[in-house]
Amino acid sequence: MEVDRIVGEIGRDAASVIPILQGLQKQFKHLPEAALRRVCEISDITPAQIEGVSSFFSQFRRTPVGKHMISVCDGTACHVKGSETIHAAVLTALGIDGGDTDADGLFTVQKVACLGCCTLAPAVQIDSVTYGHLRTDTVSNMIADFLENDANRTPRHFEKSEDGISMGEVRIGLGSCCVAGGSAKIRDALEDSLAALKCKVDIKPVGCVGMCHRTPLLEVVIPGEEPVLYAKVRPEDIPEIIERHFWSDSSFIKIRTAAESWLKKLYTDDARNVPERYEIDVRDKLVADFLGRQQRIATEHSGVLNPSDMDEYKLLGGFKALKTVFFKNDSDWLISEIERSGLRGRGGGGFPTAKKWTAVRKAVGEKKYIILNGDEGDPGAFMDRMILESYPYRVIEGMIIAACAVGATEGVLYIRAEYPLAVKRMRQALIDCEADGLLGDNIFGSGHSLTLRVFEGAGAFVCGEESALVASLEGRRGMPHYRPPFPAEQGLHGCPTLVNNAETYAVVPWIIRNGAEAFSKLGTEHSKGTKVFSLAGKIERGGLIEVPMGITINEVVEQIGGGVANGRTFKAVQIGGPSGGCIPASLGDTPVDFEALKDIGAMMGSGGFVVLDDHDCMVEMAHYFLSFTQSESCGKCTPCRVGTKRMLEILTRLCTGGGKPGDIEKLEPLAHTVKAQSLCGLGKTAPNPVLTTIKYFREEFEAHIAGRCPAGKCRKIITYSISDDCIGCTKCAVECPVNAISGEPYAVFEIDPDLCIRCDNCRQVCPVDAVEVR
Amino acid sequence: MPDLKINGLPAHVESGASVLEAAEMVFVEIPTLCHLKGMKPDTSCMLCVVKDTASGQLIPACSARAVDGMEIDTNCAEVQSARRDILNLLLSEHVGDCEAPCTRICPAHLDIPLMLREIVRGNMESAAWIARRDLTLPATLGYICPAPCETGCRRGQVDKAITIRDLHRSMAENHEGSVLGFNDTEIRGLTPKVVAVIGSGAAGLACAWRLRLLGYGCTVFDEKPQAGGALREESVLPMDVLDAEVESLREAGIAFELGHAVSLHTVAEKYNGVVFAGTEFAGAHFADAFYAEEHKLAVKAVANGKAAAVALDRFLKGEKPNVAKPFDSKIGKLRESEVQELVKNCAAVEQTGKSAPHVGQTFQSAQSEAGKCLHCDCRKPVGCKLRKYAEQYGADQREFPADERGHVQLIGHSEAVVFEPGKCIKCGLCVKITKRAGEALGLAFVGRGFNTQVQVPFGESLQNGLREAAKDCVEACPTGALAFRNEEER
Repeated sequence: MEVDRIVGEIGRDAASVIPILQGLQKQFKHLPEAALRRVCEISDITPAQIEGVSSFFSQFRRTPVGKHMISVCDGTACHVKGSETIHAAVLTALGIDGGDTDADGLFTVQKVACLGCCTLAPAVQIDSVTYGHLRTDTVSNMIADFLENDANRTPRHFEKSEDGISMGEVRIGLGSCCVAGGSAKIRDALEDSLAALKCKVDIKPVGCVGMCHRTPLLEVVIPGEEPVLYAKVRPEDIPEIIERHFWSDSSFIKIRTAAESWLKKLYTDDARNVPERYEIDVRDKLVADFLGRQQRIATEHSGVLNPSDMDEYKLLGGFKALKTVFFKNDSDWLISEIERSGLRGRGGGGFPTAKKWTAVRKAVGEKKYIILNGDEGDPGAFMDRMILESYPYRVIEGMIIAACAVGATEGVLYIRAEYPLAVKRMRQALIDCEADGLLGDNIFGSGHSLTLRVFEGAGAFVCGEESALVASLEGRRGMPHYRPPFPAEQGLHGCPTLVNNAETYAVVPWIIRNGAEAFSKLGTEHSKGTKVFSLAGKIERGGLIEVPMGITINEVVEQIGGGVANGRTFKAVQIGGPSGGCIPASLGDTPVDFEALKDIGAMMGSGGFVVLDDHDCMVEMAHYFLSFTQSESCGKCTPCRVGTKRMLEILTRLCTGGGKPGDIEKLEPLAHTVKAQSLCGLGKTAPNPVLTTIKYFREEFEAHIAGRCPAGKCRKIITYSISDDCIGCTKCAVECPVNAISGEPYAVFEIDPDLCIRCDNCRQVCPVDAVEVR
Repeated sequence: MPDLKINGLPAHVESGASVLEAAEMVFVEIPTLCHLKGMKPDTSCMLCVVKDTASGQLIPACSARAVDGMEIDTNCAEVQSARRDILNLLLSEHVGDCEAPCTRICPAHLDIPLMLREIVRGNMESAAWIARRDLTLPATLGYICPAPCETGCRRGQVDKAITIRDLHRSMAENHEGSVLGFNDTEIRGLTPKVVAVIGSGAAGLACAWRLRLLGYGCTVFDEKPQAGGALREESVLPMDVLDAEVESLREAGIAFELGHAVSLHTVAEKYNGVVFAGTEFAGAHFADAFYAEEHKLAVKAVANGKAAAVALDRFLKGEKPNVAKPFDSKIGKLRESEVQELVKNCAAVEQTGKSAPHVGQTFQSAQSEAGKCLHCDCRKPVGCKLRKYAEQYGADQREFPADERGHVQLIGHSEAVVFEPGKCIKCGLCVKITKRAGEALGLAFVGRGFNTQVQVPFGESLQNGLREAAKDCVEACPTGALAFRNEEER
């Protein structure tokens, strides 16, 4: 029986319940009751436990699903770019009216908190294929494309050029954004072209470059020449790019040189249909701006390093820090280095790392554990994913160093199951490190032993809270407990446990290699070093950025991000996700610093940085974030379980025209109650987005009470119409997914308010801003 | 071994002890709902918050460890208001009536559901006693009361309201012996204090009866030769019914001085307290006298008489007047499907036919009529800690109104234990108790966040979930969510 096999492979103890459920779901696509009962018969897992755990985590499904799973991302970036209408369009396209699965049982549609592809917003994932930049009218194409490719999908066998001298290498970004942006297809096209041209060129996958707004990215590196970076590459562009750089048949070699300048000109020519999609050189101003203010520490060697190549990591200084640590073999020195560096936890709270390490080191226990918290659940954040995908060895190196400092011998990398690539790469990296003797007993004779394993988080934002994370590792529902005792004293299985975030571990080797001063030199008085942010939303150039602490919000938005997209006005930035706050443009001079952000009601959080423009409604944003935290509340403590629900009800009323005078006066004290009295960080910070929006955008709340949405976003209380400025270009009518717009060419068009679904397509395409929203 | 201060009182506790345990040592009470001695605290309800004066933070006393040098305030305004907020939030999702609508509407507050259940059980004497105890004149009122209780009866949403008035009349008329004798444990022994009630209408009689129940020697004065006041003018009321009920009050030890005027002087001298029931002496207001208004609605007059008696009792005991009513959580009108859910749970489902049962009805028809009761009242009106603290902290169920109230649900129809999810505060005690007891199925938290519910795994019956630990769970449940189907707390 399959169940017996899965349980046999994973384990029969109570702590194995989540991996077992994941195994069952992989096998059956959902969790049949008979399978769960069988698990209870043959393991220590009780029915109450399996029922409790399987219903707690959103990954698990108790009802059968369609053959393919369509996950519509509802992360912040996708949300502000219209994921709601995409979700509705997907349901419509599949003819689903009630329920979540189509009549043929082919597709099941679900909303997911965040796919971590914020720069591709709005994004949808069908099984393992991600589609980005969707519009309501491209949804059917997406489904057709998926079905077509699904039928023809055959695994490719890539043969590396074994003989001959390589003429250079082509680097392809293989971070999730790039993959979602189509880099896998680019790779296929590359292989085809290289084979056809008989070129000896290495194809090198590299981790995230950070320029996620230009994916897929491709870089051509020829020894002795300046590397050339191509952005937004399409498969059909590949032959031309290859020919341009590697035209290899000897008879053509001369032509290549001669033709080069001409070709360059040709492909940068706007008149052609291809070039506007690519050809940005690193030396171009845009790219220079994007990369210029950045400082790479956690993301060192971004775009160069092959994430799965340990040798290359070593060549670029990898594991040198670990050697230093082993050589000195002095954890007092090690912790004091970290202390002098001023490093604070990158997971959100900003707790001094050295303090945490000291606590674990001093704590008494028969065994000590080390945990990597990679349960990045913030909608609108993908830093941890990128770091885990792109720098797996660096993360492991940081963990080994930390384990040496605190005396931990066993550890877990807790990574969201929604990040399959990160899970895969980390698993491989662990195998490599074990094979290399970097993990295991008595590592390099240092006397330190450490074993690490990957645990896939099953989908609960609250598990980012360390005590809830530990609970889920022990096979319980991910509910936090009151701290103290902190995990540093009593963590996993009651033993002292160090829990740090992925980014925190990733900067540790750099600090050891370059010295504490090099790190503390960067940043502000109390916030040292750099911080990785996922820059997304209504921004010209989104991506994964690493900036020195103390940089102002305006600098990030204007210089790195290139300002607000589509010529709109910068209204606010949402920092710190559902725990953070909305900072108005007027406070754009605020430095990115733990204390400075806290002072204005936001918080660093784990690093989501979502830019909002004047079309974004702040009441709706407050509603969005609160509906996220409300649905992610574990339900344990009264203030969070009931309080966030009551808050959300008020906000829902405001957004749907049911606001009443006095609602703000009700909402604010309730928010303060939830903030002051909740048990854990989730509840204590959940009111932040609401409180900051009331504080900085109170007039929008008042407008909603009066039944108006000034930003024209809250669909229940707005109507679309076309003004006399209309030039009759017909664009809006073409884009309208429900045929609500009619008119004669060159005359003023009209919108039928009864048919209109307020998808905003018409307003976005109107060249003369004639679509009015009231 | 930390030393700390609770409300300024020094406490010395074992290291590792909680603030709650430290408070217990110095006899400072901290309210808890989700806490059970001997079990690891869950920190779920958050009612036990206290203030750590050093940090200014509110911390949960059940989980926070007592630390050397700590100074804890368990009672400041901030703590009180925080606890009230918690209670208000819990009550905002509480789908349950502390009291049944019929009882709530009855001015005299007759415990109707209990009376009906005693009828169903065949305990007619007990039912008659309840009617007598609460109404003073259950037979008399059985003729003249407009029966507001029946308009509140939820059974009316299904078919017809229960004929409550006829039932209490019938009980009283057929079980006269119940006045005393049956339940003299509820009549307290006589105190040395004696009181006078001036006026013998419904208010006066009810007042005297209540005072008698509270243990006072009691004399009723009236200028008229017969007790009853305005009741004697009721045309539909056979006077022998009234006479019989007055007679039974006399048998219960109430003295009557009728047919002559009373001297205030005598009253003031001889009695410890006076109640003027529908009477007053021109211009004379005694500082220590109490007043019970007569009312043309007799049952309202009864209520007034009872209230005056209670007020006098408190006064004589040196207690402050209690104006607060017991906390009463209210569901409001039920949805059609919800009433059907309750009907399924009825003791007797079969209908008694179109014609309303007559007074003097047979044993069986009274039983089948009473068996229609939907048991709207809570099974734990006394033991419910949520109700107790809601009253203590002045909670207001409407402070954080829900957009839509939860569904009335009753699980375990034919089982000894019933579970009402709407009353569950998700404290998790029952889940932990079934686990500790090693139940094969037990109870589990299912779902997450606001939608979390306590359920038996795999949708099995409550009976299967609670094979060993039912009693422990019912006892530990801080609300009426888990209760024994047929047990009475009162």
